[in-house]
Amino acid sequence: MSGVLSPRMQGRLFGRSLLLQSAWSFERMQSLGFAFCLEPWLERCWHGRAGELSAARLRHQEFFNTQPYLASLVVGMVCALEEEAAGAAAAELPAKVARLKALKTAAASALAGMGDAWFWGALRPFCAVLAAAGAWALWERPRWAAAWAILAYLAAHNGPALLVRWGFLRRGYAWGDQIAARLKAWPGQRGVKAVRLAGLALAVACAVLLLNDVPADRKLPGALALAAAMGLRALRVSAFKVYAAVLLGGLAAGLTGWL
Amino acid sequence: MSGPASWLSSVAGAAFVSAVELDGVQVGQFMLSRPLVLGPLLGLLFGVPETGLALGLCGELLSLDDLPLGGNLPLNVTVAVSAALLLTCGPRPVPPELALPAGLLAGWAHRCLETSLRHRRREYSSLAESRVRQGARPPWGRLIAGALAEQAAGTFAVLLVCVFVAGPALRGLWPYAPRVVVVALAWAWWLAPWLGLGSAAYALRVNA
Repeated sequence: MSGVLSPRMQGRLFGRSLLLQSAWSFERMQSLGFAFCLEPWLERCWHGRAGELSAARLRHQEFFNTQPYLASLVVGMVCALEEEAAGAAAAELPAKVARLKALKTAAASALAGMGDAWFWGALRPFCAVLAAAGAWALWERPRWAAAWAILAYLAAHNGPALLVRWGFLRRGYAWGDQIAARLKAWPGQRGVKAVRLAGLALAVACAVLLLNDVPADRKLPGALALAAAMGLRALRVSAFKVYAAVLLGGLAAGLTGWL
Repeated sequence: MSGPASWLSSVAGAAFVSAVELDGVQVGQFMLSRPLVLGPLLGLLFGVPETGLALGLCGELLSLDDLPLGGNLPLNVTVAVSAALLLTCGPRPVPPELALPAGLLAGWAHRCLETSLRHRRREYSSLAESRVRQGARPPWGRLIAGALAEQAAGTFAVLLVCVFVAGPALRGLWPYAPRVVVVALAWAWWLAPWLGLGSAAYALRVNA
């Protein structure tokens, strides 16, 4: 047993964490990927103790689901707790394992909510409108616009996402069962609001670029469509259904001679 | 815009998309499979950057609020945009206003296929568990490679149907489409970015 998360081991865990959802199933969600990710660490912790190693492998094949980027924090925490369990006396082992399982479940649920708000609710939409705004601004030069969209999206998203995925492995390991207390101190929610606000400003810029680009008689229908899409989304109608409704509405309008 | 792509290029494009689609959920999630990345990339590869951008923008903005949370499996927008692009610049090209709804149907078909694949994957967990109970190491490589290969094969099959069946059929029918259908498709195509922007603005509302 090493006692430290070496850079080499961190690299192995990180590489495997990229396959966390490779065998995602409705029944156990990310469990298989999580167990695969932990395999080298479990083999190290429980080396020479076949029964305990099998038990460890089995407990990480139980249901597991969280936001995939923040999963690295859970992986790091579980590494610390598995190491602690492996070093405990035999009489203490059941209690250590029960605590590990409870902390893992609680952390997964809490981090799912946080990660969804950070990455799917703020960063991804921000990157999309950033790429879109540049693409619309460069529309007359399509190759440049395409190159901008690709590079801006990938850089703006993967920069922070990779930093979090790599760095949180070590933090999770260092924090162990203190994850909840440590995360309370993070200014996450303010960051989410700032990114969303910046994204909203870019979306307005996109609308202005689009408005400048269309003939005068089409400005009003475009703006109305934008407002209608926002309203229908507020009513929980998916954007694709809104598009389908526009298509069917166009057909109906054409059939009645209005369009 | 360059001429239509050959059958071979279209098949190669479908194979490329099948590999990149894995990035959406199963491998990495580096956003390579997002429509605003993959659409322009395919557009550049096929010599139609403007079409790739237009389809990518529509797909990206319309799907921005479809969050991949837990068991939620939305329409596969990667497949939708790629299918639309392969239809637009394939050997039997169709106009983008027709390719977009056809692509969305392909994305919906892929969603149905993926639902069944995700149910099937419970067998992988059972296999891994039984190997551990026998005291052995689970065959991780085989399990993960199997899950990825199934997904990629499903994506490839959906895209091949688009290239070899939907493309020629739509191309053949398009000249006979009633004017009202042509006008409605053009209208929906023109409004798609506006609808997408509305959806994006809703997704970015600050007090969410």
